Amino acid sequence: MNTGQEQQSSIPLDFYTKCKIITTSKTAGIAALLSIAGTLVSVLAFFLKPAPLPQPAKEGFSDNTAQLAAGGNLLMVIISLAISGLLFYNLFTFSRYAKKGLEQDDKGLLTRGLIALGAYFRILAVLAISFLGLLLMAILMTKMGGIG
Amino acid sequence: MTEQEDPSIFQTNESDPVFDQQFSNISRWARLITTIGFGIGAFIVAGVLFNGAAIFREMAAAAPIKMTGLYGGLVVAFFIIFFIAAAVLYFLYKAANFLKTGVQQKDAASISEGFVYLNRFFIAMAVFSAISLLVNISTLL
Repeated sequence: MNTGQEQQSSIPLDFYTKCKIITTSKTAGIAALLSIAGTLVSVLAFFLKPAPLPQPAKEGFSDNTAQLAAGGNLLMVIISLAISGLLFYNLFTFSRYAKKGLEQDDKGLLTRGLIALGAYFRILAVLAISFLGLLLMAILMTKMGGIG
Repeated sequence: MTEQEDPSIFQTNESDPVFDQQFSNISRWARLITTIGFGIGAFIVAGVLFNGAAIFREMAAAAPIKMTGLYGGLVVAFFIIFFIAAAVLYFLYKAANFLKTGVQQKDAASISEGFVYLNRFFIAMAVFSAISLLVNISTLL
């Protein structure tokens, strides 16, 4: 049975747990590198091989519409690059500090790594909420369009 | 006199709320992601059940490349991606649950089990990223 003092004590990490955290941090590092590489290549592809601009199918659209579409694509690329950069930074920080912290038996470094992992999941959660919001908005607009 | 090995700083009974809080922080955000993910998944399943055939037919018609069997290919690709995404969310959900239990019970075994599932989640993420990287490289060439 746990005493009050044991309830307040920190979680003891045994050898097995440390091994699992190190393995996870290594995999997270590889995932982070692959993810940022994919984003950089897609940005490169956007500038080197841009997709043909979609032509407006209806009458009444000027050339500005096509320019606006191109500007929107560029904005999307910049936003995705910024988000990928943030995700990479946090995941790679977790990978680096968790490994270093466990190898050097430094709790501060491990805590810093875990904070970065928490930030990584926080960003993912914000993205998921934004996606859900956009999805609901799209459904609402479709419904309203159908009624109108 | 026998030489005693210094205990690891991770095996001391010193209270470190900041350290413990990080596990529950990770667990909380991971749980939120899985909740939203399962919600979106349920919505997609409902959409496919009610209007799936029409959606896939429209997607096949709108595809830039026309070929025979594109409709069937789209359906198969959808199910493959859907089940992989479900597996990824399941790994994250299990990791969040084990981390939460580990923090509540101060149990290292649960924490390690949580990291086993987090490792599987990152493996799946790495596979997704590798596929995305290969697709992006193929568009460059």
